[in-house]
Amino acid sequence: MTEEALLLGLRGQDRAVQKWLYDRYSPLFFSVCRRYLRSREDAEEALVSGFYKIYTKIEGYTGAGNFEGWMRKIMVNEALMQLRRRQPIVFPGEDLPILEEVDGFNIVSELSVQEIMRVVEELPVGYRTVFNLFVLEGYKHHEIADLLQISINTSKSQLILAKEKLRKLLRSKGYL
Amino acid sequence: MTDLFELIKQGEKGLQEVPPPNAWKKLEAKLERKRRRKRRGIRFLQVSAAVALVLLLLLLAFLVVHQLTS
Repeated sequence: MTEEALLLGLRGQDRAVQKWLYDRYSPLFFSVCRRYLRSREDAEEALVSGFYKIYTKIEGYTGAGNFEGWMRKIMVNEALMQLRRRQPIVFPGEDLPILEEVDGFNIVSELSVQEIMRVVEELPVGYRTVFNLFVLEGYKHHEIADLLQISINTSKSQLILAKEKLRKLLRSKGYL
Repeated sequence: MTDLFELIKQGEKGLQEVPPPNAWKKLEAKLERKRRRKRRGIRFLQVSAAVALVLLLLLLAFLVVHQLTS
């Protein structure tokens, strides 16, 4: 299906087109939601709300920028809203002075992305959220600060602390 | 040796996970509720417009009759 036909169908609230889009993107977006929400039920709720917003706010997509990127932003926002509904996001070490950035680290063992993400899941929620937004979504610190209503320095320090914690976890499992 | 963050970014597409099968049904039900609400709103407007038209016609008829009899 061409993007033009897809958008036309979505604007006309065509159920078959909506289902086609859901079948195509739900595995990707469900995994995006799962990264922010540990429980499958919460991730499912965020997924359903996200798609509902995509379908009902389709007029808001003006064609500027990538459509998948536009949908993905909605999904991430829904996942963060669901996360906040469950519990306030705590940012450990929020008040610490700005920390020194550690160098990127290399892994020596043959490690799959799935295995790494399982370790990322063990990070505290604040670290994990900032880590996902920065590393996987490619958000800038000022965007993360806006999204999570924290300061830019908190976003930076959470990322550094997340990397440190991740390094410790990987080392303790013998991956580094 | 591989940079960890590059590995994560590159492998992200492989992290897909199929959602529970009833998620689509929940979404469809939500969309259907919205559609029904919208239809109800349109019907209410149509009925209101019809009632207003009838009242207007009655008023006009009354005024004409009143004019003719006086």
